Formats: sequence, C-alpha cells, structure tokens
Amino acid sequence: MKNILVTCLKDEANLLQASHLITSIAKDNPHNEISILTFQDIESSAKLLKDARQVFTIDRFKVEHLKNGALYSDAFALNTLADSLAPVMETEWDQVVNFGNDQISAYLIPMLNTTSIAGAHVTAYGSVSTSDRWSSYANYYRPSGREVEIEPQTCSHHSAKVPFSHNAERINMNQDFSLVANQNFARIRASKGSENDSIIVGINLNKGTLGESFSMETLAELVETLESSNEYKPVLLTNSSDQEKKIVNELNAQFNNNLISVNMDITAAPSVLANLDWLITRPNRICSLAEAMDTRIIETLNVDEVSKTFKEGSFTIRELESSHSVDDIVFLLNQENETILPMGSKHSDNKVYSRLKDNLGFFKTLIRGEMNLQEELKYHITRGYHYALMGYDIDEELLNNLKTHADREQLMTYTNQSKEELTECVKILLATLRSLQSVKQSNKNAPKFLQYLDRLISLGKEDIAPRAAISLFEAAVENITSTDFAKNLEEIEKNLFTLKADLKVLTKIFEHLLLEDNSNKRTQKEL
Amino acid sequence: MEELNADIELKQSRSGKTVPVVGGIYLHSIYNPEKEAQAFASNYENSIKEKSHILMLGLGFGYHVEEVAKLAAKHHESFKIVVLEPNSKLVQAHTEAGGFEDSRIEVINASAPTDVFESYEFIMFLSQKPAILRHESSFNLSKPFFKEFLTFKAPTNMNHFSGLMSHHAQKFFPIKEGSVDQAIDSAKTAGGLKDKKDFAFFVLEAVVNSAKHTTQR
Repeated sequence: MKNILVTCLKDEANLLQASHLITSIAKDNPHNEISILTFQDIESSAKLLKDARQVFTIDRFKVEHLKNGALYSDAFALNTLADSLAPVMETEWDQVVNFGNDQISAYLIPMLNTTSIAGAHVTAYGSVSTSDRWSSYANYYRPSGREVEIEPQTCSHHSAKVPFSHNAERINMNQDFSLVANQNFARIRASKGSENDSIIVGINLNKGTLGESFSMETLAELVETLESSNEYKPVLLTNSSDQEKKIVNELNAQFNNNLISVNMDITAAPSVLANLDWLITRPNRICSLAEAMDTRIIETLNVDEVSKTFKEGSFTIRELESSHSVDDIVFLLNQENETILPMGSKHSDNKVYSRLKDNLGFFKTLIRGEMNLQEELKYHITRGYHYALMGYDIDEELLNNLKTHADREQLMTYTNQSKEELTECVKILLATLRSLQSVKQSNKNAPKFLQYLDRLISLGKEDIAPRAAISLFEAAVENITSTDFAKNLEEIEKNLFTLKADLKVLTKIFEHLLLEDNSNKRTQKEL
Repeated sequence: MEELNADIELKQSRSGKTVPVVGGIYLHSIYNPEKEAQAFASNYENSIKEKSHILMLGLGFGYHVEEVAKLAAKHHESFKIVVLEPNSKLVQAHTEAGGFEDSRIEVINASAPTDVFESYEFIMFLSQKPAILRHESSFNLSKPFFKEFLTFKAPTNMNHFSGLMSHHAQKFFPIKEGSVDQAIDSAKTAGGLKDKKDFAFFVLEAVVNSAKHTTQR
C-alpha cells in the first residue's frame, strides 16, 4: 500500500483531468491511498474525484489578500499558508505526483517528506529537475500554437508508472441529483413523441479557457437545426451567470420559450452529463469533467486554445472560420448517429479531428477540412519519432503506409526539409562535442564551448524536426546537480552522446521514408 | 451623578439618557441623544445598506451604534458591528451600564492601533471590507489614535512580527532580517538556496500570483 499525494495547483480543468491518473493509480493497486492538494476555491471539484481519499487545500485568495494588504502583518499570510500545508508537510509520502506541473508544486515538493517524485520540481540551484524522460518531455517540449504529439496524460501516467485505466468510473455521482436528473432527462428524451427516444445534445454555454464563447449566430443556428429535427433534442447547459442567463433568454425568445436549459453547478454537473448523448462545448472545466466521464464530446476551439479532450470518441473542431462551425458539428452528429440533418455547406474552412487510440497511445486524425499534407505528415511522423525517443520501436507500419499512400513528391518535400534541419543540428552537436574536448585540455576554451551549448539548446525552441530530442537534452543538462566542473562536463558529454543517438533515430526514419520500395520492381531476368 | 473617574463625567440628558462628558466635551446631545443617534444612522443609511460589516470609530455611550444596528437588521439577514474605542474608562462605564444586548455588536478597547492590528479576528473582520463610520465627537476626542489607526501600515520586518507567527509558520518559514519580499528577492539573486526552507518564500509568492491571475467565482 502506498501513500500518494497528487498536487493539482494549476486550475480547475487540470484538477478534473487528474481524475484519469488518480483512478489509474487506484486501479493499479486498490490499497493505494491517494490524496490531493489543490485550492480551496475549487475544492468542490476535487471532491468529485472518486478515488481521492483526502483533499488538502490552500486558500489562495485569503493568502493573497493578507499578503498584499498594507494593513495586515505578513505574519497572517504566512500563518494561513503554513497552517493549511501542515498536514501535507507532516505526512510521509511514498510518492508525490506533480500533476498540475505548476510553479507552486515545483517549489513545494522539495520540502515534502518523500522519496519518490513523479514530475518536475525546482532544485536548490533554481533549475528544474524532472523525474524521468516522460516528465522532461512534458516540461521542456512546448511547441507554441499547436498540440504536443504525446498527450500530457500519457506522460503523467508513465512518470507515475501506472497503466492508463480505460472504461473506469472516475467521478462521484450525487445520488439525489442523479435521481432527479434521470427522471427529467427521461421526459426530455420522450418529449418529441417520435418512435425512438431523442438523442440529447447538451450545449455548454460556459466560456473556453481563453474567454471565448459560442457566438449567438452559432448557437441559434445549431439549436434551430437540432430542435427542428425528429431525432435530436438540444439542452442548454449554464452556470447561472448573468451573461449565460441573457444568452438563454435571447435564444428562448427566438424559439417561443420552448428551449430546455439546465443550470448546473459543478456538484450537479456529473448527473447532468451522465444523461447526455453528446456534449458540444468550448475547452473548459465542464469539457474536462465530461472527458473524465467518457461522455461523447464535440469540442470547438479557436486557433490559440488548448484542447481539453484526448480520448477516443471525442472530436475537436479547430475554428478558422467560425461561421461554418455549425456545419462541422452537424456533420459529426450525422456521421456518428447516421442521421441526415441539413447542412449549409459540404466543405469546411475549419479543421475537424477525430480522437483515436493506437498501440502507442492517443492521437488525432483530420476527418474534415482542407488537408495540408505537409502538416499531416509532420504530425504523424513526429509522433512516431517522439514515441521512439521514449523507448518504443520505430513505427514501421506507419512509415510503410506513408510511403505507399502519401503523395511521393510531398513526402520527399517534407523529408528533405526535415533532413536539412537535422543536418544543421548534427553540425552544431558535433561542434559542441569537439568544443567540449578542447575544454578538457584547457578551461580557457570554456566560453566557446558554452556558446555552442547555448546555440544547441536554443535549437530546441525552433519548430524543427529534432526539436523534442534537443528539449530532452536540455532537460538532462538542467538535471545535473553537481557543482564539480569536471563532473558536469562528463555528464554533459554523456548527454550529448544520448542526443546523438536520438538524432540517429530520426535519420533512420528519414532513410526508411526515402528508401524506394523495390519489392514491386522486376529484375532484369524477369523482364 | 456619581463620577466614575476624573476623566469621565456621566450626566443626564433632558430625555433621561446618560451622556458621558470627557474633558468637558459632551459625547452626545444633552437634549435628546436618541434623536441625534437616529439622525446619525440615517446619514449613513446607504453605506449600511451596502455593507453587512460595519466598523464604528468611537463608542460614546452607544446610542448611535444601536441605531446603526437597527438599520443593519432592516437591510441584512446577518451583520456585524465592531466598535473601536481607545478610552478604557468609557468602555468600562458603558459595560457597567449594561453594554450592548445585541451579540452582533462587539467593542474593542485598544490603547494603540498596533494592538488592534495584531488580532487575527479583527484582521478577518477587516478583510470583509466593512463600512467605516465615524462618531465625530469620539473621533475628535481621540484624534491621534484614530488618525494613526486609519493610516496604519503593518511592520514588514520579519523579526518584528515573528511573535505573531503560528507554530506551523515558524516551522515552515525561516525568520530573516528584513521583510518577506526582501527575503524572496534575496533568495532569487543568491544563485542557490542555502536553506531548503527558503523554498517556502517561493511557494508563498507562487500562491499569491496564482490568486492574482485567477478570477474568483
């Protein structure tokens, strides 16, 4: 039996996402006792997590108020923080998991009584130390503007050394709320009076994490399409804010006050979500909760938002032209439910992805919208490469499929471009290694070596093929804790050779892609 | 009229109510202190309506406080009034005369504002952002005290406030020369932490930043 602390000190959506890992830890060993450390203002969400035995909280708003008020002695802020952390500090933990990957956890974890850390924490030198390669990937590989190729959930499970638990109950359901919700939704399902029960589509009006909501036009068009069908019944989901009440009122005015809306706080939300066939949502805490409950989700995002979905069965619509997102939603509903709802346009300027799973893990595939083959090649090949960096075999089946089915010219363009990027990196890597050798002869050569090292690490911030490998190298260098210069050099050298090997994996992938398939060619004798 | 002490003289108003006189100054109307108190409360009705927590500067003999309490009860299901009075003899006289029946009214007697600001309960009351009402005659009588109170800034040196730190806080945070902010800056520029406990300051800073960047529901 292990006493495990999972820290979730980022935000509410992240806390709800922790449900996957927490349940996986519990399933791995039912005797494990799992506690959560989070914020007091989101404690009600923490209590939804089924397998969390105990919830510790920090009242961050009180601490901030006391710290920043000139009237108040800082002693009160220190007392508030220390008193709330006391039970966590006094416990001996078998493992501490920094799930939130947040600053508070990173600074707190070195002070805790534990021998095993999963995730990142800050060292006494101010550098970030990661527990393993998966944690390094999650911390250091941060491509801007797009999703990472290996899901954060996959990384956190590997760091915590537990398998992902599919089809598990992760969320507590309030029996009273569920009873009422089940009765109400049964009536809603039967309300259209058609032969079959209606397909209930919940439309979550809550804003996304960057503050974006569905436009009134989108909502009106979507509601109209669903409401006028025989098969579907839309239900508006709100959090009782004035803004959302206004939206509901405006929509109802257009539909003769016939629309159904449900006000739900976070404790009632599971009972409501359990009765939905589909949830249409922006990326927010309700989306994370629905994902934890295996609700089927259609998530719409603008170009800057980070998706909250990752599991098979969910869909994401990356909005490039939001006027057509209703068509994308309708397309998905038609596809999945074999219905024929009317669509304004067969084509979409947005990108619609289906979330899937293979033997490596979770991934996404474009199912609607203009395909940019270079982007698609980049995503799938990069994903395969990143898993290879983590110790998996190179996905030869994927590479063979690409060779067989992808446009040869496009494949060559991608591969040649990436090879150039790789060559540049190898050049700098070799220069760094040579420079390191010269430092061994004289410390006077150290500045030049550091310049090369900086240049190499800075490549890990550029959008190039070897980016993740260089990020892992950077993480490994940051993990060096020795103050002895000679030992440091030794460690860096070791890591440079690891990077070299990692880049070689990429070379193998490109060689495989560029190798012509000779099996169909006839020999001279045959000719 | 029995004198309670040399500083306070208790007189009877025309309406039969006790009116304290301090240093020759009448703290309430000698004619009709209740009517005066009602007018006082009416003047502040908007503030009382908006806030269920009220800080009264000056006790007098409590008539204005009782009228404020009546208005507060009209507008709020629950409320709290804290009366701040530096004159201990006045507080004693009021208590001996029966004090306030309403348990939602609390009198704090302090000779120095520092004493008040070292009370955690008072700090929690202040964090509710109470309406602040001045009983002018009491205020003017103890002007230096109330002025110091209204312009108070808590001492920031850790050595000065270490006595206020809880047992857990003393275990968690190292006591440094200078303020908490200076300790954080010093730890950041040191190039390495000599004491693992210095992480506590970074935790504090990260918690404060997290609250700043989050909208409270």
